[in-house]
Amino acid sequence: MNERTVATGLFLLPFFYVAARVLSLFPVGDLGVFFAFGTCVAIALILGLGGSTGQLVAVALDILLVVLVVAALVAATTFAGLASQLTAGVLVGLPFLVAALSWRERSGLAHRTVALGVAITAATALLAARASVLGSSLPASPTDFVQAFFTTNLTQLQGLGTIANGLAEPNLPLRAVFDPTFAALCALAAGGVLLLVLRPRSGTEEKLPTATTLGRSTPAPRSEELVPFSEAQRRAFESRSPDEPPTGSWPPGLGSVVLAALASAGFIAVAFESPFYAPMVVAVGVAAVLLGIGLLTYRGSTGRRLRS
Amino acid sequence: MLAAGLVVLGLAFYTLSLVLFVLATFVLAFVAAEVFQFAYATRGFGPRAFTARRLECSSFVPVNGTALLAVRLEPHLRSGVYAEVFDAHPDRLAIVDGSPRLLTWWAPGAEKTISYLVRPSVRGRFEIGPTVVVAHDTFGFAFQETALSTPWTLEAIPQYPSVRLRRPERFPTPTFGQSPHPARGAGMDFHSLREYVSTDDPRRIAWTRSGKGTMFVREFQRENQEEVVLLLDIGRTMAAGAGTADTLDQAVTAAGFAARYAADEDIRFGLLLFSDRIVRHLVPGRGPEHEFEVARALAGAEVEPRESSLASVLEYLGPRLAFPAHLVAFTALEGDPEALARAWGPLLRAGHHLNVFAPDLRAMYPPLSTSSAQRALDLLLRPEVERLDRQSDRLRALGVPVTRYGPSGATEGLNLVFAQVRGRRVAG
Repeated sequence: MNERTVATGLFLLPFFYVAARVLSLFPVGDLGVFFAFGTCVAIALILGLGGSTGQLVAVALDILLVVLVVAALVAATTFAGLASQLTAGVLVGLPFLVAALSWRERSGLAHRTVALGVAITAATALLAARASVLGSSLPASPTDFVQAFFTTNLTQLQGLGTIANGLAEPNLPLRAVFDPTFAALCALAAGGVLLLVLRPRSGTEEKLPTATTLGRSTPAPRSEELVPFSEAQRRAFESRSPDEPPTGSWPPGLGSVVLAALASAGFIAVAFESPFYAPMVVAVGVAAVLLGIGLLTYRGSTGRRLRS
Repeated sequence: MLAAGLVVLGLAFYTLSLVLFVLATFVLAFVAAEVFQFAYATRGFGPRAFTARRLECSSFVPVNGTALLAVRLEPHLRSGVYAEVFDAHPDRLAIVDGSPRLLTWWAPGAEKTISYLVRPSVRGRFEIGPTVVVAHDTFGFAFQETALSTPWTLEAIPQYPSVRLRRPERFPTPTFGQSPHPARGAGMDFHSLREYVSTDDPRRIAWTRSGKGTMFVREFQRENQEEVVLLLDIGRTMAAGAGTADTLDQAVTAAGFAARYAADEDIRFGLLLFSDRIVRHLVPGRGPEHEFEVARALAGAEVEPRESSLASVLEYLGPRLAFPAHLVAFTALEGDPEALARAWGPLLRAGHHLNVFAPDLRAMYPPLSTSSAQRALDLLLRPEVERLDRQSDRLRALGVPVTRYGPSGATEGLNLVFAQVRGRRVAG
């Protein structure tokens, strides 16, 4: 099992958990839900696990799903039930589709981080919609679930507007569904992202020594091309430096990871101690970081201008 | 990555989810730590943060030979960084071994050497450098770049088989410049001994070699004063033609052939490169050093974007030719024809000879795929072709032979020229 498989598995774990919880609402007879969800998962797995032929299959599945949903929605007057089932299935599979987009070969750390964030947001909305459906006295149906999904998001936006207007006690359905298991699985998903992409690389996504096999660890054999050169020239050629990994015991980049972990732990501590102030602490920290990076960039560009 | 962190933070503020807040905090703190740590590690980064020097680089190389290029760098940074180092070189130099690029961890004070072998496939002067150092953080979030001045010039010289280019200490291949043959035929040099006959001048008797009953005299060879001066036009019209087989390149190849021929025939050979000015003038001479300089001048011949003037060259040469010379001009015959006729007159009266090789412009371009494109090209070339025809006719009227050369070169015409030179030597 290669590291890509492990990373994909870790990334998808929280969303399988959420899907299991949401899908348990629907009876087995709602085949449209399971079909649409299954297609989304298939796309995510095909892209996540890599392979060039898989890309074509994933695209074909994408197209099939879009055609089905559109056809069902167009014919909603006749097949209202199927349209709702497919929509509910796609909504449950939404985190997987987002994951699929981010797990293409050329996606970098930034893409995958954003994908993880969006997928967690979608999964949180799904959990909130599930809670909303379970709260009602009627048996759950795909139509109710789709409606609840959009309603919870709308309510969340209204709640945020209330906070912005300085009013107290708003209704925030997405905040209300904190699930410790889901949170723990999200940590594993973040680990999956880090596992695959958090390794020394250049700005052009080229792996640096320590992340790639070194081309030449021992002196290369004498090239036949060197025969006509002087001894000094041969020495100059043979003294060429190989690509070298860091020599210290503390790997470069590890300090930043440790510092980020400490900052996250600090945030969690503040959040548990004083939930109201925690977002503000983050906002102030982010402002400080942006200011610092801006200053560095400005100084760099000014220095270059002065030098030129 | 910073933007990704901000997007996640935005989502966190939307959902007010602890998970997303933690994720955003982690990402932003990670990026910030990495960027600030990199800024600290690369403080003072710039050209002065490195000492760079070239090592044992080749200066001259035959075309298709192998040359060594190397540069050694020492950093004055106080922290280690990941760095990408690249020694800039023209694409026409193919890498044979080694690499002009290094992607490595660079510890403080550690010297790094980039060393590689290149093979030029065409003649010319190749400017090497600068050496570019790009330092970046471990995850590619930030970088700093600087170019270190490490200039070097590599001259790729065409290899003319019998021209002996002796610079063994500067040439990497034994076939180039390491010939054991000495230079031949200098002045009133000793040639051989033969038995004395009664008509010999007694002053030539080799007393030390003569024995009882057998007398020997020394024979000397007369110094050859015949000179060939090749005039190579590098004006703008000489750029006509396709790819690396353009008008000038054909002329350079022919000039190399002429130099070889002159060396073989022991004729003093000179070279003059001109446009509207004298670019390079090597006075006629012999010997390995001279042959080397001729080959080097030919290797560096590049078209100048100016009109050329053969007339001003002839005026320049008039007072400088010590012996009757055979002038061989490869030129596009730009400039005033009357001025050319006026400039040639005094040289003709002084006993000099002139052969002109003018390019066949139409032949310099390979046939185009469509007839309309071919017609368009012919139309574009027509003014120059007609001008060349007119100039050639005027020169012929002055008694100057004008030969046209195309992509197949001018070897045949040069053979005739050297046959004339040889004929005059025999007659003289």
